[in-house]
Amino acid sequence: MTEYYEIKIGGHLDPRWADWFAGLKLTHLEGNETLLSGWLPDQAALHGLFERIRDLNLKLISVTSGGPSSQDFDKEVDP
Amino acid sequence: MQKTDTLIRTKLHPPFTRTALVPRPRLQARIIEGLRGPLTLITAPAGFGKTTLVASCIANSGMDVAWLSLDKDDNQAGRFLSYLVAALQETDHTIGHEAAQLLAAARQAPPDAILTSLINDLDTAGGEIALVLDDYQFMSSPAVHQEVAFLLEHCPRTLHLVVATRSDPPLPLSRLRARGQMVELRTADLRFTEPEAAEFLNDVMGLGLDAGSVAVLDERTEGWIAGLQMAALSMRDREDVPGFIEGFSGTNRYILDYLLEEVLASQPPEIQRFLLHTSILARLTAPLCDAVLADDEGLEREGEDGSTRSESLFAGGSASILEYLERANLFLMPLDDERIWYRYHQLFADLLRTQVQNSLGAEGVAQLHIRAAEWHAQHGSILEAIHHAAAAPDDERVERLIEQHYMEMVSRGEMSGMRLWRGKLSKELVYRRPWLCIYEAYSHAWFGELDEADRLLEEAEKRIRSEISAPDARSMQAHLAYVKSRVTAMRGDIQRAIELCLAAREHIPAGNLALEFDTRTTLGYEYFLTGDYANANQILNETIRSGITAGAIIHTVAASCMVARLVAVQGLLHKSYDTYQMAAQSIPEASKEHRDARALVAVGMADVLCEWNDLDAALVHLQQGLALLPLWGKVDDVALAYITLARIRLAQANRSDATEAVEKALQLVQTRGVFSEARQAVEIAQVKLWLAQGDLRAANRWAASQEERLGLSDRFGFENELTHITQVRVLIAQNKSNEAIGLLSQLEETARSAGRMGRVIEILLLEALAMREVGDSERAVLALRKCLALAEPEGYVRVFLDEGRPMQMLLVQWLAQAGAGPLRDYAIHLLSQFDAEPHVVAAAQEIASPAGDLIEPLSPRELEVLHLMALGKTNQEIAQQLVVAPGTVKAHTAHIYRKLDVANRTEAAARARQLGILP
Repeated sequence: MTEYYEIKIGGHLDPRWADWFAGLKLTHLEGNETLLSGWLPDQAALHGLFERIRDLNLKLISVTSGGPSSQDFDKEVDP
Repeated sequence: MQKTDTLIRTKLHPPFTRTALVPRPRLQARIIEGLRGPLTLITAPAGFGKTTLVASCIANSGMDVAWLSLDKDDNQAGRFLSYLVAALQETDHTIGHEAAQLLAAARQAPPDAILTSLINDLDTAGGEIALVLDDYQFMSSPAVHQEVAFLLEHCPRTLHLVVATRSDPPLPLSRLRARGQMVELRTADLRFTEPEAAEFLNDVMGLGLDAGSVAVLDERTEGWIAGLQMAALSMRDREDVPGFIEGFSGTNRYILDYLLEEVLASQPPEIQRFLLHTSILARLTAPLCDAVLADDEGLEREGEDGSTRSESLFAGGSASILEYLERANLFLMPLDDERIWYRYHQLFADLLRTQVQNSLGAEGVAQLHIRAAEWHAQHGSILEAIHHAAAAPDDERVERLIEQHYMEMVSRGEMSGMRLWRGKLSKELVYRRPWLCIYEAYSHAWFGELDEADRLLEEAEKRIRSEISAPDARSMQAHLAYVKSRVTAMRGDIQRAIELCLAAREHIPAGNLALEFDTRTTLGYEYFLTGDYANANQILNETIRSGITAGAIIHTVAASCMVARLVAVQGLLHKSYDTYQMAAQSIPEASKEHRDARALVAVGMADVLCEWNDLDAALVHLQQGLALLPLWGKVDDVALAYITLARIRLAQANRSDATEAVEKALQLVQTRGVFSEARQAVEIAQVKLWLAQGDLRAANRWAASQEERLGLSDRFGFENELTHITQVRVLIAQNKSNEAIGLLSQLEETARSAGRMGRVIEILLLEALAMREVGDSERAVLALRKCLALAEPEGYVRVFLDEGRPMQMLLVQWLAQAGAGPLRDYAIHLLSQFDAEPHVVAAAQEIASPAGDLIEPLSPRELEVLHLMALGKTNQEIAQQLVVAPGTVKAHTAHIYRKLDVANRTEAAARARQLGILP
């Protein structure tokens, strides 16, 4: 069951890291944060992401699931 | 563990610490404190210097160090344990031998047993050991966590665990915490403080920054050592250091990303290329790097400014580049003393990998992986080759690699990680590759899983038919025929099995010793099962001889044990025992390996010792053997061992343990495929147990079903001999001894002409008992005499004792009129053994329907006197016969009258006949 997730991490991460993060879209937010957003196949994929975030010593700020927020409407997301 | 891969060894040693380090006495002290207890836990993300810290601390701790650097692939119960054992063996080779063997052989290693064995070894060894598990965050399997938890719970006082991890491990730590038996270091502890940062930047990296700059950097990186290191590298060859610091502290970018660009940019193009290309490698060595960097045809290396370079700055190729990187502190760590293998710091490698993906694209990266796969395959590091092939991804290559190296990997055991890949082998893949089908089929057949074996054999045959022209088609045929032979034999068609084995022998490629031995041994065994002892002996002895020459210990021993059982059937107990002894001697004394071979010999010897009534020795051997038989894997021998155990227990009058043993054996032969030897042995043991318990109904049911079955087939073939003998027992118990006698004379003839004297002994014994039952004491005694003549030279004892009271009395009867000589002495010896029995069993028919008991049974001496009395001898004559004083005889008769509750000789004889004491 794919679900839509938004994951906020600290610092600005280059868009080229998208591949590293399961092809999620990377958006730089004001206030020194990056939003990873997109569809993931299941919880296991989500945990895999958490591991990668951990391994790069990125700061995990928040995780939400559900529909896309008003911020990113253009869905050029890689499944 | 005799030979470990170089690569595997790199997991078992702490990475070598570089010379200059920032001393961190505060942290060192805490770790030393932790090392006094069972657990030190260090939890912090990558790049906080955990590994470096632990490595430097334990070097100064004065303890032996067992180190294990964990990988993602180690996240599996068996593999983890194997590495754990290997790590401990590196410190003290006396630790973990049994554990290693259990892991190597058992299909599903029982973790608790292995850990217990390890813990015992640790207790015995007694030295203080620090066991480091580095990168524990890769462990996510609950089974692995359970193993570690078990270790912690039963931790010997001399073992001190250090776990370094990026995430809190899900281990039960509350008790340790509560008791203060745990020291924890977390991220906050490991961050560089400002003074530490200053020392690092200025003293170690030689930057000469002022306090303000240090403070800015420390804050920006939040004391993250990897960040500071990268920053330092960026600043080292830079002129405008303050500019850099300003830019760095002002950016929001992920600092490692930012810094990596800076660091890479300041490196010569050749180095940049090197770093990017080799980033795909988990472990680096110069020749491997050269292979990965190999230029494509026609492409020349370009410098950043577009000019072509014709010569390298680094004359020594990859080797000198690696040296440079290490000296430059560019996140390269040597893994051994000789600087042959290195690895990148995890973070650095991750960063580089994203970069290389961008610069070369997926195709380019795939190319790198393929080159790495080829190099590793050529150099025998198959797992790494498979990794890279899978990363490319190149499925065909993966399959090919697995198939080519399957047997080798399996024989190397857990450590080879082959199980990891076997687990990933889809059914489709196995079916696509005939060799994999055959190997899997062999494995299933060995363990008696016949249905699975059949399925795979079918697939393999299909494949082979379609690949008939393949160069190794003949070899495939040979393997296939051999495996089929085993399965066919276990399903009962022994003739066909022999044909298949003979066919297999035709096609075995020269030099394939393992298959050669396996086939010969199986063929010899199959001849044994049909009663063709001539062929069996010849082939098995041949195998033993060539096995000794080739040093193929397990094959030599397996064949020897079969020969030993064969000669036992022929009634040659001494030869049987000697064969076992020779087999034992062929196992090198000093070697702690070959436990499976030792187990086979032990249970075999127990069998002979049991027959000789040396029950204590038999039990010791048997229990030792049973403990290690799982290493052998074949279920037949375990079942046979349990039957021997049952026999010993019955002899000890321990009926419940005997029943348990038979039940265990039954369970084995009912759930797995076995050869007919084991199946029959278990069946017969079950019937004998019923008779011993007086359960005639069960025994009758069995006999009836046998009647039906045998009515249709060859009545007196070898295959049915034991069944017939057992049927005779049931007949006697049913009071149908007349029928039994007829059957017995035919059996005796067949067995005797085939030279199966061991069986003849049993048959004659039963003849004697049957005769006694029908009242023909003359022929009974005659049969007994023939039996004794055969049994005496070989020292048979239990075969008589197991028959209980009737046999005892028969012996007394015979003794009464026996002349002097070895047989007489033998009978006396047997009777003394009867005396020593904890409980002399009554005849089966009596147990079923007791004819009334004497409150106090007659002693053997009294029995002798009674017999002579019944023959009409006077006291005087009896005294002469027994070589005792007449007064003694008088005393005996008094006892006899009392016990029989009679007043004179005539009454005594009558009463004795009524009670079945006299025929």
